[in-house]
Amino acid sequence: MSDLPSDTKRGASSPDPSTSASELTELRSLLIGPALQEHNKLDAEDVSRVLPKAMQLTVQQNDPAVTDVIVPTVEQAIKTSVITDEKILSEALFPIMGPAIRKAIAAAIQNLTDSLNQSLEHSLSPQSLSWRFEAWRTGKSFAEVLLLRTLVYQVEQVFLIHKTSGLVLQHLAAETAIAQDADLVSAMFTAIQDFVRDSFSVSDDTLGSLQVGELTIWVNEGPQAIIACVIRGNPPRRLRQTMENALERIHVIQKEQLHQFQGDSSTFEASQPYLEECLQAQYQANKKRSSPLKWFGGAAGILLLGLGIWGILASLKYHQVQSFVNQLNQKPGIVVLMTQQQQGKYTISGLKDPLADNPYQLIQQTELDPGQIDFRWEPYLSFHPHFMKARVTELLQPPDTVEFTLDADGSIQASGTASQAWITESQQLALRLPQITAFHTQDLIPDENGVLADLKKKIETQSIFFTQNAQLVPQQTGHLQQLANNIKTLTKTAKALNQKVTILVEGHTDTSGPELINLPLRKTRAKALISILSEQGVNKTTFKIASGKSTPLTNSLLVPQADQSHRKVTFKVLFIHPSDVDI
Amino acid sequence: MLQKKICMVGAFATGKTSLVARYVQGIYSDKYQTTVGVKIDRKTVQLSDQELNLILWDIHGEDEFQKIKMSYLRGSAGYILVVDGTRRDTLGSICNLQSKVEETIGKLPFITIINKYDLSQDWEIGDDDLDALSQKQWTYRMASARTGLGVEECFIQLAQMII
Repeated sequence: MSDLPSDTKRGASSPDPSTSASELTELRSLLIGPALQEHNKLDAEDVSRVLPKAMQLTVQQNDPAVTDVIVPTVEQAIKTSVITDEKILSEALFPIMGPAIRKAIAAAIQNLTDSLNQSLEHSLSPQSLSWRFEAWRTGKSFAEVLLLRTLVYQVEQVFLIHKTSGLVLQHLAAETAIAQDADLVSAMFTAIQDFVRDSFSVSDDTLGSLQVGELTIWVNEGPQAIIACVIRGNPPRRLRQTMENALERIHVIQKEQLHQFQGDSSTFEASQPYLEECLQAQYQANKKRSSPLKWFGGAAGILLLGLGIWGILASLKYHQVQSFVNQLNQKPGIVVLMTQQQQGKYTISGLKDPLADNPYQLIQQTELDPGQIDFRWEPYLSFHPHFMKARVTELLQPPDTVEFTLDADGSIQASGTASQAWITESQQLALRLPQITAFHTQDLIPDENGVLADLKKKIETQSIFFTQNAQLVPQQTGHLQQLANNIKTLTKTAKALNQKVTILVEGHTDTSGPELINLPLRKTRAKALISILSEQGVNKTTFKIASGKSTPLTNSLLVPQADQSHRKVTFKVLFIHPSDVDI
Repeated sequence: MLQKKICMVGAFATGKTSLVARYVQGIYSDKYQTTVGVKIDRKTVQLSDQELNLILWDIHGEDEFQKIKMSYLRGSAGYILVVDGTRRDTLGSICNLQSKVEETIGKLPFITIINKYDLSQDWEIGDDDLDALSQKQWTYRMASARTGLGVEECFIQLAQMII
């Protein structure tokens, strides 16, 4: 078909070119006109099919030319939409605008908070100090805490109101609030809004808040509905955000119901959770409102607890100190007169003998801190026998052979052997000690070189052993000879020193036999030995037979030789003063 | 429960507030109180098949000094035109008002109450006037806020028209 015009052209060999040209045009329109129209129509359909794909490709290729073309068109479209009906665009943008504006406001508030921080930096009232402490404790800025503490409020009622009719869609009231007739209040809000708009010719703006005595009414207006909160006190800024959020969400989830509202409010129950958020914000703030009291109670509690713990610790320490004082008082040579406490430190004062135990060493044995105790001692001399004996010993420096016995009346009994010079000196010195009433030396044996003491020791450590009867164990001849010589020397020396010697001879038995047999056996053994010694030249009158004793058979079966040691005779040397002899 | 906003519209001192007080609270006071702005009342109406909550907006009367704020009428489901039967000029002004209301909020059900029917000796509305209303296909009723005559019927009739 496309070849037809050219065929026609070739066939037209007319001599008049102008005539033939017009005819040709006419012929062309007749032949291909309808087809051309069809072709144009097909092009539009084809383009509509490929246009989305073409646009997508253009976007992918990041071609700025298409954007340049589209921008003026879109701008013009928006402009036209606003001129025709501004509500369409405003409703579409409402959910986006709210958060964006809030963000900007939040930034502005932050700046305000910062400047508040600076201006309040030097405020040092007691309350501001407590707020500063709270700011430090909670990690908030001081200004935030300040605002929070000064804002005390309660949201008493929340209204969701249909914007055009003023009819109440939902109404919530706090449990403690006295709620008015929601229908009337809701209508009045709307009437007031209308009145303000008309009176001040501000068709687009709304009355944001009303103040009636202690009550503040905050109103947030959306395209279709209004949220109004009746608040007692000073509401915080964040309540506005909560209201705004609730309003936005209600507009999103109940868009259809809002548009088609014909007076049936039951379809708006889905809005309740969002409205409750507005009430809930109030409850949290209320709790915070009571917090100063709580803080006071808490502080008082901590103080009481602290005092309690301090009291218990102090009491525990006091008892420890008292226990230590009692311990000190039981020690000889220490008398505690007073215990004082000052600034947590104890001072123990009293009397102390220089020879008494060191209290600092005693304190180490307790749980007390030595640094917490001071001592103030006045020195004194204790007459406790322990110290008296120590002082006498220190003063008289006696030889080892002398022993002291202290009586309650302050007299000292010296016994043993010592040189005459020491005895004479001691008699003078001893009485210089305070509280020593008498120094008795009659039991002291003057022994210039300690010979008597030496011999006494040798004789008393000597034992002569017997068999099971009164027979001597063999091979003791040497011992017997030595014993006899010692006794003879002793009596001789004693005589020279004007002393008389008596030797007690004690017979010993084991317990293998009955006491009825043992008692005479012990005497028999003593007599036997006296007889042997007298044969060796010792005067019989030197001896006296002592009672002796039986020593139990311990482990006799296991250690038979041990039993032999019990079968013996021992000696005790007594120096008798000449005057005693007469008696 | 279904809620409907109803507006009371009329010239000043035609008895709008008294009609509402009579209907809602069942009381009447001789003392005249001019309405400033708007007063709001509520009355629950029991219709044959359902209850209806009427929120009554008693808008201040219009005179030469104070025009009605049309914004109060937005969102209404219907309205009541109140005429003072003893002042014929109020009937004329109500016709103008009705046109303005319809311009503002569109065609909505309404009823005309010719009030103060108890003051028969001062009555100025003639049959011609009533015929004229009928010709305009307006619904109208005589009523008296003082005696309560016909008041409730007016409100119930409008409620039925709305539903």
